[in-house]
Order: sequence, then structure tokens, then C-alpha cells
Amino acid sequence: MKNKYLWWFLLFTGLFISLFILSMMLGYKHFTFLDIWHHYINGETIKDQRVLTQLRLPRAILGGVVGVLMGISGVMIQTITRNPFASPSIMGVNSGSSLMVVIATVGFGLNGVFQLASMAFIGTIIIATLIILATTLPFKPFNAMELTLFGASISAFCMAITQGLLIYNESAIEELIYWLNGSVANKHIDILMYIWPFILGGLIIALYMAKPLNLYMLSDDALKGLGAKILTIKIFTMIAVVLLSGSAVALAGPIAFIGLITPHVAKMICKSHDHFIVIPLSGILGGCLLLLSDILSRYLLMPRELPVGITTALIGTPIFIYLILNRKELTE
Amino acid sequence: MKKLIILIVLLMLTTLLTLMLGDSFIAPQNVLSGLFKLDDPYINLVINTLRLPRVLLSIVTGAALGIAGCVLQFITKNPLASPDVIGISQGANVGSLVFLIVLTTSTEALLLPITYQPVFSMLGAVIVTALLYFLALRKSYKRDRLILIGISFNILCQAIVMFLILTSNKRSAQAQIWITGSVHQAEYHQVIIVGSILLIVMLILMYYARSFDVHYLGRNLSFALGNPYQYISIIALLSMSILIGISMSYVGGIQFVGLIAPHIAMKLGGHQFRNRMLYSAIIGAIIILLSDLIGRTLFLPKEIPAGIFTALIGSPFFMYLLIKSRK
Repeated sequence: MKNKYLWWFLLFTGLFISLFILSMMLGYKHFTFLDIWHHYINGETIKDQRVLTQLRLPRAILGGVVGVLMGISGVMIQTITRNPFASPSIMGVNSGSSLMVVIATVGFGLNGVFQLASMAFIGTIIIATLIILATTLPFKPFNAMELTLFGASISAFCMAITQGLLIYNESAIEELIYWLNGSVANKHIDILMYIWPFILGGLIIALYMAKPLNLYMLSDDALKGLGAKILTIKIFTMIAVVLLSGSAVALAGPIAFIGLITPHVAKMICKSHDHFIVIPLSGILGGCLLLLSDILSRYLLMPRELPVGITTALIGTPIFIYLILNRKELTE
Repeated sequence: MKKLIILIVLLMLTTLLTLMLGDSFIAPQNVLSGLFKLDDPYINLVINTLRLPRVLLSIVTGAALGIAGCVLQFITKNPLASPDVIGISQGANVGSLVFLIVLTTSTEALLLPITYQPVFSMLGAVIVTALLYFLALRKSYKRDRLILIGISFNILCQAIVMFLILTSNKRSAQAQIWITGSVHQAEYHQVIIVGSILLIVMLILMYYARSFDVHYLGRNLSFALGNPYQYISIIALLSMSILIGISMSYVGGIQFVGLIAPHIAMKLGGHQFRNRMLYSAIIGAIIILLSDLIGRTLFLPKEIPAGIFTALIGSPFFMYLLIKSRK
């Protein structure tokens, strides 16, 4: 790896770590850096350490992990659909998993964290399969706008059923409203213990696919000429996307825009399209962005908190519009 | 002209049907007598107090949404454009919620009378439309850019709506129903307000119908024929956002009517603006009437908002159009 990239990685890893620590420090109850230092390094007892260990630390870990997963799945889905505006959330994956969670809660009375997480995972798999079908099978691939519209209508469909069920069972709304808007607060870190094999599997496949994905940026004809197995690349990439974004949704609920934006920012920063660089960099950037949004979401409605999914939408939309306005094929 | 009459007859039949069915069945002859004579207090209550305002509100909002969709599709020359996909309806919702949640005192009293709510709703729709106009329509119109920016506006406005609901702390269940879109709280004065605005906007659109047809030919030809392109675009977008704003403020987020109605209208041969607009209006009204009818009869004793059925029918229809439009 070139030196230039190494510096970028170090810089953003540094940023990631600082945001991680800030995420533990800031909030309704403030901790100083020294508090954290004393507590974790010297093992001293500090005031309110339960808040730190039981709320802030799990939250920071979840925020970091979920952001990384979203960033990476964003790059992969954008490359594999050859669509710079694809992301799991735009394409309806989030609303699919919300629907499954609501069906589980309202329809079958499930409410355990693991049960809901598994249902979210199943929802991701179903919608992702739909997207693979929509982008692979007989007819020619969707362009950026068509794919986005397709996702938007999947979303609308799932949301209509979700809302119907919620209205049918009003008591579920209050329970689920935070879940439905995506949040890393008050989540059970245990879920991470339960799904880490999926995450690890997804990450390994993602790195393994970096080289094929570099090839995949060529046209289909060129790929055939080189003897690449297009379908295999697609299937493995989508498996990684399902594992990564499914885990992210299971952990934090639907959070939009992270996976959409980070690949663009990563490519802009390192001025490279090499997936060996873009995949990890998007991951780190995704983690930074989610940690930052989560910190902000504690302050926007102080003393109450906002689901982080709302904050990412508020931050993400202007960036997304900026990206659209600067795409050559979309301007004249 | 013949098609228009058939559509009007269809609308009348649907109206009769929706007045008949519900919690209790009322025979057609009784519906008619109930409308004009008020001798039977029970029928009078069911028809005139419970069902009629709802049915009338469905008709006027359906017509408003249908026309709004028709205007947008005409102006963008995009059969896939719909005010709710590109965020204008959500913008109206943001306006309403700003009025309901931000403009309340700490004791929950509104700072302005509730009659101002539609004004804020229209303002929300106009602001989103204006942003879209400046970002994606004014200088060089690119279809994909408009849709992508519109979709992100939609997500942004949804986030703001949730933000506002969460700040308000209570009534989130009610807000949820309202966001989904329902006509169940219809009142006569709402019908009158939506109806009169609808009428005014329709007259304006009729007046400009020729110019719209020329506008459709494109910027250069419009100029050559002496048609003020930019001016017509603005008239169209303004009318559309006013219609969206006023209907959203009473029925919440009923989706996809603005997409489906103009499509069916075009299939029926409405290529000229005037015909297409009238067809869209009637078809929009029928769609909401039927969705509301299903919502309040199929799952008795629960009521399901009409907006859910328009989305359940609308989104597969939309996917079908999307796949078909690629040939």
C-alpha cells in the first residue's frame, strides 16, 4: 500500500478513536477525559461509573460497529449495482426489516431483543434478495434513478403495511417508535455477542471481494472477456451486503444515509477507486459519521434524545443533494 | 366528452355505494331519501352526519391530489413523477406539524386558531417545491436529478416529521394515523375549504390549458410560439403545491393517488391537458372513495386509514410502470 493511503488511514482511525472517546464523555451527564482514563486505565472508582460502563460504553461500541458495517455495505452495493446512489436504506432494506419487526411484535407478540434482531435480519435478507432479482435477472439493469425509485416504492409498500399494523395495535407504537427510527441508545450489547460471526463472515467476504470488485467496475462484456464469473461476484457481494447491513439493522434499527454517503466521501478523499482502499476507508468514515451523529442526537432535544436515524437523515440529505448536483451525468 | 360522462356516472355510483356501506347497511333508495328528506333520524344521522362529510372530503381531496399529480407529470414530462415520491406531500406534513407542535404554548394552546393549519401545510408544500425548482428545474431540467433530489427531500421531511412528533412527547399514535392519511375526521367546513380552493385552482388551470399543451412541446418550441415557458412552469408548480398542501392538511399523507390517477387518465386518451386534468380529478376521487370504503368496512370494528390502501395498491402499480417504462 502506498504511503499516502497509510496516512489517510491513520488520520481517520485517529478521528474514529477520538469520536469514540467523545461519545463516552458527552451527553446529559458529562465525564472528563481524566474520568475515563482513571476508570479504565487505573481501575479507580469514579462517580457515576455505572452510567459510563452500562450506557456510554455499549453505546459507543455499537455506534462505531454499526457505522463501520454500514459504510462497507454501502460501497459494495454501489459497486455491484453500478449505481452511485444505491444504499441498503434507499433500496428499502430498512423498511423491510422494520416491517418484519412490527409483524413479529404485533402479530406474534414477540418482544425479546434477540427475537426482534433476528426478525430484522430476515427482513434484510428478503428485501436484498428482491434487489438481487431486480438487478440481475433477465431484463437489463436498472439505472440510478430507476433503482432508487424501485427502492422507494418497496419502502412505501413496506411502510404502508407497517403503519397499518401499528394502527391496528396502537400500544405497539410507543414501544417501537425508537426502534423504527434507528437508535444505538439503550440497546443490548448482548446482541453483538450473538451476531458477531455474521459480522466477521461479512467482513471477510468483503475484503476477499475487493479484487473482483475492482474488476467489476469494467463493463460486463469486458468481464466476460476476462473470464470473470459475473454471477458469482454478484452473489458473494450481495451475501456480504446482507450479512453486514443485516447485522447493522439488527443492532441499531433502520439508519439511513451512512452507507450512501461514506463511499463518495472516501473516494473523494483518497482519489482512488481501488476497493482495497475504499472498503476499509468507508468503514472507518461510516463509524466516524455514526458516532458523530449519535453525539449530536443527544444534544438536539436535550434533555431527551433523538433516534440517531433522524440525525443522520438531517445531516445526510444536504450532503446527498450536494453529491447529486455535482455528478456529471446528472448536470449538463 | 363521452368518456367524461362515463367517468362522472362511475363517480356517482361509487359515491352511492360508499354512502350505502359501512357499519350498517342502508338501502340505496333510503340513501337518496336520507340526503333530501330528513324524516328518519337514524338514516339522517348515518348519512348526513357520519358518512356524507367523509365521502365529500374523499371526493374533493381525491380530485385535488389527482390534478396535482397530473400537473406535475405534465410539467416534468415524467410519467413516474408523483408529488409524494419527490417529497412535496411530506413537506406539507412538515408545515402542518410545525403549526401543531411548534406553535403551541406550554399549556398546549395553539398560538393561532386551528383554521390556519392549511396555510402552514400549503407553505410547507410550496417551500419544498420552490427548492426543487431552484435545484433541479429552473436552469437545466434533468429528469434523474429531479427524482433523486426529490427522494432525498422526502427522506429529510420524514425525518423532520418524526423529529417533531418525538418533541411533542404525546399523541404519537394519533400523529401516526394522520401521517398515514385518513379521511375519518372529515367535517363539512373542510369540504368547503378544500372544495373552493380546488375550484379556483381548476379554473386557473383551465384558463392556461392551451399554454400547458404548448409547454409540453419543450422550451424551444414554447419560445418560438410565444409561450412564456418559465412563467407557465411556475403557475403549474404553484397550483400543484397549493392543492397538495390543502388536501394534506386535512387528510394527512395519502400516497400514490397523484401517481395513479393521471396514468389511468392518460390511458383513457387524456393527452390534452384539459381532458387529462378532468379525468385525473374524477379517478383520484374514486380511488380515495374506494380506499376509504375498504378501510372502514373490511376490518370492522377497527378502521384502517385510506392511505394504507392507496399505498398497497399504488406501490406495486408503480413498480409495474417502472419496469414497463424501460421496454
